[in-house]
Amino acid sequence: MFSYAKGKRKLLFCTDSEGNQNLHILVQQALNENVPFEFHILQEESDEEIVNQWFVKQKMGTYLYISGTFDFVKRIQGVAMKAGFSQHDMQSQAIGPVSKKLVCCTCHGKNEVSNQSYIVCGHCGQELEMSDHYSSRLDAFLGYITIK
Amino acid sequence: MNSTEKNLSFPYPFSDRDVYRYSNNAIPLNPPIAIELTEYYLDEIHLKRKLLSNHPERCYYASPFTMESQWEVLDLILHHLAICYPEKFKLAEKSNQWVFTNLLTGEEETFIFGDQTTLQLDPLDFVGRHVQEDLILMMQRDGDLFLDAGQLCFPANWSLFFDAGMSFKEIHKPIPGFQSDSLDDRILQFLMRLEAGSPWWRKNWSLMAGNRLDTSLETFAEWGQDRKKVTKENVGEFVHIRVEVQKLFRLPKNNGILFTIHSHMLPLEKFIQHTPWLEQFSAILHELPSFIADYKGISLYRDVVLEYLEDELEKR
Repeated sequence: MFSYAKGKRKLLFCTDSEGNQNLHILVQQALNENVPFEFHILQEESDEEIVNQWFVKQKMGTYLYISGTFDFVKRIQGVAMKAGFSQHDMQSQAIGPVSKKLVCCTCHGKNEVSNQSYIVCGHCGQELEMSDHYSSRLDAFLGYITIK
Repeated sequence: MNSTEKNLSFPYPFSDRDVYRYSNNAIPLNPPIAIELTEYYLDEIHLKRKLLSNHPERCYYASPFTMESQWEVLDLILHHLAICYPEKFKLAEKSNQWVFTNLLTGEEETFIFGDQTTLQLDPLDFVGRHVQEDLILMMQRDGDLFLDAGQLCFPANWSLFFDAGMSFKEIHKPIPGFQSDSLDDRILQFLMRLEAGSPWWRKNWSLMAGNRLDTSLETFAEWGQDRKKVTKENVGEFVHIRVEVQKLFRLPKNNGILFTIHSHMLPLEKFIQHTPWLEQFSAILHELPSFIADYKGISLYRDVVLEYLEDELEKR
């Protein structure tokens, strides 16, 4: 769930048509506390350059919320990071099925996973346990093997 | 040196407390030397080079922008080798032309310092093949440290391939309890205040079933199973205490940090010959919280080791 980021200069809300419900409580809080904000509902296929222009003109202390389908959230996160936002300057929440990549600790092969705790690596056949160790360079989580 | 003296030269990892917790136990390094040669030098150098040629993707990583810092690492290490072990290594500098001689391997390398085209390998990769230490290069930016280059052949169950490019806290995320009391933050702040000319060092320890140096995460399937093979009969010779001597040097020109890791191993039966070590290690292992034992991979055979230590204590 989203949590309200206190003491920010400005809040940005970025959502697709699916995700805007999740942001209403935060918007209400921003109104109550008189914090400036911008709210944009974007189309799934919205132009990245427009989003980028929106992000790059923001000043330090701006905080970003992203809500929407998994693909939407990933895409907007990517644009935000390129524009200079860090992981500490944003929160995001995906609606519906999540698709993550899991890197096999043995063969480095990438596997698509959703919410499983264990999978069999499609490249080398090892059983892998999902972890929350994440590499942004590989855009993937680490899959460990366990001793049976 | 008789065998007891030899064991006493082993880097004993514990302080005077009979309790072990994660902490920033770094102290100033004196003498300020990044590398140390042991009697296993040639064996370990050959093993390193074999791993590097067979598994480059897991043993070496470098971001292109680290090249200048890599030359700083090469500069520091080659000078330390030549100064501390003058009978084994020579370094001749004629303006920018350097000639490095390793008398132990019988190699001589001539290159122009700073000119990438005159060295067959990256500077970090080159120099790492002449020392037993693993070499990690952390670069500082945006108030954080990042693992931007490394040559790692003897990791204690982690993956350079996976951790490459990560920040300090991202790398240490899997260590349970490392975030409590902001330990991760305090260590990061400590590291970022490191100054050139004032290196620090610390020791880290674990137990392992078997005596492999190359305990990479990639080969866990091969060596992890050994944890189930520890028995009352084989524990003394099969289980090893593994100590990493870790040293930290600030590189003055590009503000990077060189982190050297020298892994030492000793079978338990030799380690406990020195009774004070046996007594303290037995107390520490007995008290060790399960979350640390789990992370260090000891849990499966901790009871067997404890029984063994207690039996040995009774004999003294």
